[in-house]
Amino acid sequence: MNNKNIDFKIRTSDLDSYVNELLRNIKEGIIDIEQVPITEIIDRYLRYVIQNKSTIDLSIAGKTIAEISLILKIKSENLLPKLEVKTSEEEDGEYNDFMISKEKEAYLQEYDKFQKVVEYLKEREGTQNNIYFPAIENNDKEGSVEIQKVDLADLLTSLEKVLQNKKKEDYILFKKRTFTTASKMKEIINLLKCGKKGLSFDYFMERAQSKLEIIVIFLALLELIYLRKIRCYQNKSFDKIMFNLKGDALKLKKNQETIQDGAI
Amino acid sequence: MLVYNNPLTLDKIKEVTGLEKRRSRSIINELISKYDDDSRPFRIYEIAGGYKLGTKPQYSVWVKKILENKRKHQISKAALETLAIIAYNQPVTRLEIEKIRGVSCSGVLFNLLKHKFIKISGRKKALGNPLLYKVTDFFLMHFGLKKINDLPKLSEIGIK
Repeated sequence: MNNKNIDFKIRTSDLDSYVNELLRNIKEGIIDIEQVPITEIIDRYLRYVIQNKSTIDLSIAGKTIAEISLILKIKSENLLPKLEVKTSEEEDGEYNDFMISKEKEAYLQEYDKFQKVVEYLKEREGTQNNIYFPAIENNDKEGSVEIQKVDLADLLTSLEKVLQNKKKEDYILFKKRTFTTASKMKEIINLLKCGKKGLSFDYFMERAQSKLEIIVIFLALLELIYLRKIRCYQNKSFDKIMFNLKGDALKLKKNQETIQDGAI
Repeated sequence: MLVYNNPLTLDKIKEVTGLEKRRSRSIINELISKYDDDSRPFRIYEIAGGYKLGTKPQYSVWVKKILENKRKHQISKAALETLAIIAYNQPVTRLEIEKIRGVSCSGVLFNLLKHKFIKISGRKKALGNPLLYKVTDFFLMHFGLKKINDLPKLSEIGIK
């Protein structure tokens, strides 16, 4: 009886195969489901079953029907609009893209805002360009020169000398570090407030207990110069490198002195 | 005012003359209206938290000729953008400026610092302790502003 079903072969202009072969080819993507005339196959098979109803084994006929139904299902699913199921990662990605685009939009808006401010400033600059103030030779070095006659190379050379002169430590004693660059910066400011004529580079370095402390003090000095809190200068060539207060720190010192004078 | 390089503040006047601030202000206001009314080619400008003598705009044609058309600082668009961002958000870090502008600002900041339009006002207590930038009195002088709050609110220049 098995042969009876095998005898049912689909023969159209494009196809010439058994149902199970056809299903396998569809699943493997060899045959495009679009090209399968499913109604024609069903019609032919039903006619075949009716013609051979007395001899056909129903269990095998049923199997072929199941295979044809599967083809029908595949075809109908193919006709339906595709519903994309997104993984959580894809969804996260899309959400992030959305957020990034939102963020970009916000920045663009912010940028556009400043374009109007730029126009305003340009306008003001144009008006101000017609006003001239007396030109005076600029002797005010406040805020412009932090290091007078001393450059970074001089400071580094001095640091190198200090480090070389420091005795090599035979053993390292592990101690809890009690200083930071910030604390050293405060310490330097406080020391400079007391030293009226300014303090030398060596003065700060001699206070250090270890090489690490020397480096931290050096960094603190550089930071203070950068923040324009202190001034670094040399009175003459090859003289000691000196530091004193400037800017806000100096004002603070003056205020303190005034308060002290008042108290006396 | 003629010889002082920076705008003369009421504090400075008090320090020099001993006059009370209120008295100095009223005298200066008198002078301002006097110079504005007559045909003098200069007037007193209230600028960058102080007072400064300057030429009246209508005489700029002749002043330019004397100065042989020597132009004042001309600020590039990139620098103006950076200044605008700093002025409205100060103190601000380089990264915050770059986030708005979308391009690197190191070079522009360096030039603005060099020409004293901005200054370093400290470090932000954040990862890496970035430097904070602020505009200077020179910025106020360049744009003819009395103080930073004189910058118009964003809503006043048509920004929602």
